Amino acid sequence: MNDFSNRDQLYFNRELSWLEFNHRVLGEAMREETPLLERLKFLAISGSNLDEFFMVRVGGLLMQSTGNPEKTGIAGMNPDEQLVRIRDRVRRMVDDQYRCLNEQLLPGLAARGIRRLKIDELDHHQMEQLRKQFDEHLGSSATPIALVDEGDFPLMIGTSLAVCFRVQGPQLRPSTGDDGSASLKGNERVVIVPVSRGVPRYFPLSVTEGFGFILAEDALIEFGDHFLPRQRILETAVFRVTRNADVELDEEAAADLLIGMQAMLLDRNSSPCVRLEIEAAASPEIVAFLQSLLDIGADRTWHVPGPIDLSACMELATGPRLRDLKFEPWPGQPLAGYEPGQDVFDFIAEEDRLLSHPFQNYDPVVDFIQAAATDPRVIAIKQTLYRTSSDSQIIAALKTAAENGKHVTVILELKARFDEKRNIDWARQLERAGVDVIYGVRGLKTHAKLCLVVRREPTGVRRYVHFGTGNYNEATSRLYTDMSLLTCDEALGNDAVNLLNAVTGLSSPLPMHKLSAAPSHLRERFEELIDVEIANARKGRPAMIQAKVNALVDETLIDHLYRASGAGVRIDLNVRGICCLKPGVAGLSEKIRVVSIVDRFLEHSRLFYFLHGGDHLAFIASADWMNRNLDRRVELLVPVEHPACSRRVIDVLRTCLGDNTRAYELQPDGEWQPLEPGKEVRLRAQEHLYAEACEEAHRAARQSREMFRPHRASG
Amino acid sequence: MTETAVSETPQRLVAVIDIGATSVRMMIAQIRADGEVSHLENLSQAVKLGRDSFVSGRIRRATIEDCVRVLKIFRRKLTEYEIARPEQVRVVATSAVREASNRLAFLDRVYIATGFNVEPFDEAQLHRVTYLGIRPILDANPELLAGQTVICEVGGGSTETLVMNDGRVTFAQTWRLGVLRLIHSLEASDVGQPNSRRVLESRIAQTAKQIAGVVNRREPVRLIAMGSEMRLAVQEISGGIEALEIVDVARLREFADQILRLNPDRLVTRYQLSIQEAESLGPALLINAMIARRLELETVHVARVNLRDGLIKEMLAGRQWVGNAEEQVIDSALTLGRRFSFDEAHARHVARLGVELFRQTTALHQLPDRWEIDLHLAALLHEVGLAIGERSYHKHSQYIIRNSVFFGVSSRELNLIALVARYHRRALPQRTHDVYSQLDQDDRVAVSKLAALLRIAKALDAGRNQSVQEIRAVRAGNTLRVEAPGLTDVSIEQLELRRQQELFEYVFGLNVELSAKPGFV
Repeated sequence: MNDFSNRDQLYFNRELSWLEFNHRVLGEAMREETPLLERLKFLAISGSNLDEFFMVRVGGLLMQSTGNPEKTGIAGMNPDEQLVRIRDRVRRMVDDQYRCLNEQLLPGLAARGIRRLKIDELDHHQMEQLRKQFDEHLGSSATPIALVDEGDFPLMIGTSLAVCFRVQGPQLRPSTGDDGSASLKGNERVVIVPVSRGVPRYFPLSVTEGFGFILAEDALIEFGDHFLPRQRILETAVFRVTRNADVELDEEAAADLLIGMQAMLLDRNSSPCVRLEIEAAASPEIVAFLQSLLDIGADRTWHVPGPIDLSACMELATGPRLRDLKFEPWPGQPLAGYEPGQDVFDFIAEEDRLLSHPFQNYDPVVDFIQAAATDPRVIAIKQTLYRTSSDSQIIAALKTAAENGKHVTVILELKARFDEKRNIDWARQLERAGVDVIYGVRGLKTHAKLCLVVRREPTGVRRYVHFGTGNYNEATSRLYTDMSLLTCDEALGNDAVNLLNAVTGLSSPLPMHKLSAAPSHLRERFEELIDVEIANARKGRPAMIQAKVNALVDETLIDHLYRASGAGVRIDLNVRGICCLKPGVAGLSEKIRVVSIVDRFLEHSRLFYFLHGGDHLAFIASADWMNRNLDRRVELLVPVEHPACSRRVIDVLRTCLGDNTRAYELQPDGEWQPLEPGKEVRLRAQEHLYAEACEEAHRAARQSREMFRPHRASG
Repeated sequence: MTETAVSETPQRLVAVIDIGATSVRMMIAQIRADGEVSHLENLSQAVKLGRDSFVSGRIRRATIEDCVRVLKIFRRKLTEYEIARPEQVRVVATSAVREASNRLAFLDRVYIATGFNVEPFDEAQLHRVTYLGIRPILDANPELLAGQTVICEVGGGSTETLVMNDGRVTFAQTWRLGVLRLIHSLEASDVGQPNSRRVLESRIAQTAKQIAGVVNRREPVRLIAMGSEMRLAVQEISGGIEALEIVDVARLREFADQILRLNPDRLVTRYQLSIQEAESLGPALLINAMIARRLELETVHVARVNLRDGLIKEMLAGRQWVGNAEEQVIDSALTLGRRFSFDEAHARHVARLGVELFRQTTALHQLPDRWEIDLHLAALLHEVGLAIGERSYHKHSQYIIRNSVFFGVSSRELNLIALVARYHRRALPQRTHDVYSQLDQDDRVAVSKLAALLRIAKALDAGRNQSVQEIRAVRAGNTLRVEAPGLTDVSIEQLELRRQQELFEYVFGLNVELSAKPGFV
């Protein structure tokens, strides 16, 4: 029997669990049967994930370490202890990343003609090509920053890549004078040239066969004299700074949220450094110089054995058009029975519709909002926006709707991390079109995904609602697994109206009948649902919980699940990322199994199933099982009641729980064990779901071909 | 699809706003062609009217502005549904506004800022609308119509009770036992925490005893409770969300105790209440439970209706008295008349003719339908003053009507009915007459018109033998021709008519001629 009196032992640390998730992503980059350019993408994703992890999580822990050093996380470690563990784990991960890049991907790509070229192997013609590209992209936009002494260190803009030059020669900025304080010996100085964001990282050069490229930093160094006239370059080093982005707005103090957010974004550019990455070949002097300049210790310095910023590999991975180095395309299938151009409102009024993206395409959702924008019967559209794509058809439709005189209200979350700037621009554009824009709710992030359309029909006002597990983003709808429910159920419509009235400040929250919303009631609702299973298990009745979430962190809910396990409830969880719950521990959680899928699409849908004494309740949600989702965000849990839709949710959930080729199972010790089909039938969930979507669309197409459908005069 | 298809939609959209003691609430509903009502939106925002009004007797400026803010938001919501015509919106205020000494300032400020014409509801109106709201539930559950039923709603300022016997309201009363009043009196009296519960219970017990006193204890009785607190309780206790639920009194009491022990902040998050609603929850449940106990009941019915449902019902009918409710009020007028030994046959007949005239001359008088019931009641009671003395009996009638309590008739309306009765004879309405001159122009005109019609109707039964059974009133030039089919001799009536038509001529600018029209009716 385990001793559970020490509560710290009941959970995994969330940061370390997240790092394991990123390791699984990296695992896809190492998977040999995956096409090379796709592997490069996974590597890029693992890189950008890690960047964000440093900006947000490590940044946050560093602040805690000075502000609140005794505060312990869910597994009982204080910030410094966590930072040490993180550092160890990240070191191994960075080694793995560069081993993958240097030993597997780059040689593999070179074998297929995609090659990183060295300056000294360029011929005259290639050199000219490079010079041209340099002039176009870097020559005019890169601004050198000369450093005379440490106190001189300017706010290096953000976190982009930069090259540090140690040079010798006359003063670059004679006006500043005061040469005597130079920290480097003699007339040496340091000049930093940042590679601004938006500059391509890969400069393609024509080669006889395949695809050759030069890295931007190599070009910058080669043409360094462009910035450094009359200077002798003694040494160069490529480096990058990562700043703490865990800076959030003090909403109570901000009189105008829009202005406050802009100021905060500027702050983020000057917040403390959490990481210095520098090329492994850099001399100890230059490293020491930068460390002292940035006030960053060796423990936050990373010597990188290869090109810095792996996220830039995405650029390379999407460049060459070599079909066989990419996944076979899986274009989203049309939803059976739905044809473009058909009246989307009739289609929804007929029965509830459930979509499983990206296996089924997002068209019906976009059509729904576009139709609402022009339909003369529609009087109002209200929807939430958290993250959306750059040329969003949805935003365009909302503007059209407002211009057509509809009452359009958009709850646009300005506080969506890293999308703040884009969302501020959206807010302005929408406001100009006449949309009533609400910048979210004070103290809460509006994360629920719903769009309500109010339509005056001959039989009365009817409300159509789209509920989703993912953002209103056409681009990610092709890459993330999500679900959509389109419905005109009266009770769901009423609840949606109540929620939106509350969020937009028109009314205090009123009790809802079918939906459960965070922060008011969602936690209780989950606990109630778990309690029903516990009660049934105790009575010897069948009891089961299945859930698919992106993260499971919330301590109270984990405890509830442990209790359920103790009562004999069977619990199967599919957790994409962080999981603080320890599964399969005798006396604590032996009835709980946790798996995770990492495959070509990012697992994103939040699905829930409760046996509920035979009622078989299915839900889709915007919320993960994290404290922030349950307590500090506006989130929704939506029951899927229409029998066919509900069955579909349960089927998808089962498929995801049954994956044995792209899934890992979490062990009691925290290890994620890759699953193998063994004697079972091989099941790759995403492949299976896609095949199903194809088959369904195919069947529907065949049926429609067999039917003659006459054109009729309208009206 | 064309734009016209949209405007042809047969459903009607209406909205009612109720300015209560703890919140301002709005319901937007659609009424389908078949009369079915469905709620589209419910909005609620907390305000502190009751806190102001019940404690200091007046509404603070900040609270008035808070109400204005909420009403402006609601106004915006109405434009979304294109609800703009005055007959689509009704805004009423209950005791917190009615009792405030600065209620006129409140009403004016709201009107100026939002364009909403707020009707301050008095007790009688509240009873009427409560009745209208609950009636469909009673009709759907006919077993509740038999025997004795107490309908009870605990509010912020008061507790309303209706007592019904065999489907008719026999008693309606407002008790000054309101949740906010109770909380504030406890705060003011500064009883310590341990004693407050005892004081609370003893205050409630007094009123519960009085309520039990108006019930016929020899007959079995049932209690139907209304109010959001009871709906919440029944949902928590049994999960019930039907229009009519039954809850065990013992479990209700238990639940009330449990709520009273909890910190209101906890209730705010658990039940999504405003802080004021959270504070009110426990006491409201306790009042209901104690009334039930006092009536020696084991169960209470809980009806899922509120004031706004009743208001919508009224708007649906386009007038205040709907179906059975009209009978109820006529019944209570007849009861009053009988108490003063009136000539019932004459009174009923004059009333019948008056209503007939009202309906046949709508083009002439142009009064909304809702005035018909006022004429009806004035006609029934115009002679009750005779019980006091013949001399100036019309003034006695006015006095008696004015000081009676009719189920569901507001005091303002009662005043108008009394004036119509008063002006059925003798002096014409004049600016020098005190009560009359205080009316606004619309009411003054309506009183004159109704009194003019009443005088004609009364003249038509001058023989007090109900010989004129049918009438047909047709306008011909400067004359209103009234024919009495089937009669040969109407000379008595004609004589009386000449004496009584002065007001009619004065108001409508027309002569009235009565002619017999022999033959079959």
